[in-house]
Amino acid sequence: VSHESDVIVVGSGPAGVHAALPLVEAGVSVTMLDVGNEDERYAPLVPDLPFGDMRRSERAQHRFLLGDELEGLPLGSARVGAQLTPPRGHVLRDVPRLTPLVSGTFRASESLALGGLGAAWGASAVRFDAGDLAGFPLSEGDLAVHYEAVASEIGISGSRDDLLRYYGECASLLPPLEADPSVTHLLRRYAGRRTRANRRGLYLGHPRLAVLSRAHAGRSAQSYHDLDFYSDRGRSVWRPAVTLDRLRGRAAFSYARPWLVERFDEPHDPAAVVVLARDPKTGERAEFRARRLVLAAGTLGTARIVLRSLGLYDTPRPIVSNPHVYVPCLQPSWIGRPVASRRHSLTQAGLIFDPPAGEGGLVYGEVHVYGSLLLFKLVRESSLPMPQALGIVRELLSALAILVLEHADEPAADKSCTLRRSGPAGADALHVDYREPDAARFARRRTESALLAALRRLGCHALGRIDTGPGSSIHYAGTFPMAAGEVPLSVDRACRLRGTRAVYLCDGSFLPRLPAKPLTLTLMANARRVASELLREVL
Amino acid sequence: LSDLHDEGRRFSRYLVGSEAAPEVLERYVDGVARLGLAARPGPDAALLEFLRRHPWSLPLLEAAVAAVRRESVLRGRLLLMLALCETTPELADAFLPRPRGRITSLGRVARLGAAGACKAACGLLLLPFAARGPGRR
Repeated sequence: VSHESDVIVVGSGPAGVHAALPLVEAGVSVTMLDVGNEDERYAPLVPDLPFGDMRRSERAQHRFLLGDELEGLPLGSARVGAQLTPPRGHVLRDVPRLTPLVSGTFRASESLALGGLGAAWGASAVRFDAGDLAGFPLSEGDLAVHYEAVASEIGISGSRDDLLRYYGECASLLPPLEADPSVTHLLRRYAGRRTRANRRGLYLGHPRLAVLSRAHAGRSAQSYHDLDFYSDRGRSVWRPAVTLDRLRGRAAFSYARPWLVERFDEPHDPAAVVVLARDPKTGERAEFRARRLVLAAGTLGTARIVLRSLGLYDTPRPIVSNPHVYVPCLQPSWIGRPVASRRHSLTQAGLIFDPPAGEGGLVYGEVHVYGSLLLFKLVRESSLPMPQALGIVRELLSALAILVLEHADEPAADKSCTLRRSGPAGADALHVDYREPDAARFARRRTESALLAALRRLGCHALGRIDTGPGSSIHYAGTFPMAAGEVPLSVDRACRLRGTRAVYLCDGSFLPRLPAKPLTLTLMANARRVASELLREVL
Repeated sequence: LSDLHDEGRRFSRYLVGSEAAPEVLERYVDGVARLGLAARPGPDAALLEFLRRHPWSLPLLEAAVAAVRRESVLRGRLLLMLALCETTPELADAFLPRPRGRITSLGRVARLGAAGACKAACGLLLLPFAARGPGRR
């Protein structure tokens, strides 16, 4: 089987759809290759009701809350991916079988779903600023117009508060989402003690979320039903499927699935790149030809394809991933208050910790409240008997917040990924070695302690600190970093992989390091920038 | 299977104070198999057998395993029943928070914590005996 188009995009995640959109709008023919797993079982079961009403009335709730195979009931030691509820389970489906990864130190999450990891992302949409991009061959100005275009496409809510200088300006910013009352209480306390909090490096405000606070482009405003981990009804949360549906309405676009891309080849014909893919269900193989290839298969997926295509087995590549910590917190002054029946499930407040010079690096934080992920998961963490633990959790729930903290990451000698042959018939697996240097870990903990001390002064007390280990942030980058000079296995400013004529990388692969802030919005903006460069070449 | 039904009934009474409906008990039996919670011969099986013969000991032994044997089959089965109860509409109010005011809530937290600690202390004395098995007791 052979197919032809101007550009092939591999992967339908946030970067993939934003690479395809400007090309298709300009009339360039684009084929998107994707495995494209979807949830066909649970989504129709989730009713359009507020969480509390649903819990009291819906007889089939056990199916989408726990799963038909009880896949939503974690019994092991894993504390990562609680938001991957049964309706989101397809996001990780088939990954161990089709894209094996071996590591004793790195907990990786990859996706072969329609929308990739974006099908379950937390929707935090924050720009990288000049400080974040320091040392990159790319400036804030190179991305500015693309950040704005992406923001208009996906719809971003937030406010111009104390976090503006960290989140960046956004001309099309929608009003912020309503925060849970307990978090509004925290923000009020912060406002009253702002000067002292800022002196310690602590800044709080509304989060920047790709979630609609009012209707936009056929999508509904947030319903505040607290079912965002289970359902995309109304599509207030932007997911790649939203833009993919727009693309699928265009004649120049073709969405081909289920195809697992194995490798590419650049034959003598200078106008062609050939992509070899396999149908994971039937094993059938196909060849796709195009003038340009854009790899947006996720940092780890793209690493496999590139290293396999270039025959670079046993060749370590750098990798970076944001260190990631959960901190359950309690606001004692909010104990005994009612839990809001109207709320959303995503980030309630944003947090930046920017300590004085010499006292640690910038920390990005999100404040969440707990409820729709069910109480039995909290009870499981307790060392008390279950009836007593359940009683205590119910009493404290209104005052409980879960803080998620992320730190920057730099490449280092002990952080690498390597493609190795793993069996007969050319099978291979990606091996990841990742060890955070002790000095970096201690420095990170010192910074976290200073942050939590500043938060304590606002009446928000940490109950513990859960370090979920390397890889658990699900932010990966740095495998083929952008470099100004002719560095082998790097990408140029257009994200073209050096050593190839027409292969472009537009997922996290190109970022030389990871700032503390989440990378997804930057990946989308950069994908659009790559597409605009491609337009000049292809048209 | 009827043993598992009885156990499910006992567990739901212990956890939420009321007996689970027949369909929840069916889910419990199915879940024990699905999640690999069948007890192999050894301390886990001995503990479950002890509980079957001495139902009064459940609060004490559960408190003990919560403190020192968190990955035990007993705790896995109780967590399964707790999750099934939480996703049953008739039992939703046992899981949804109820505002009581700060002082009342703090009082309840203290009382529940103290009760849990007392049960764990008693359970830790009983656990070695219960987990040893009838042949070795």
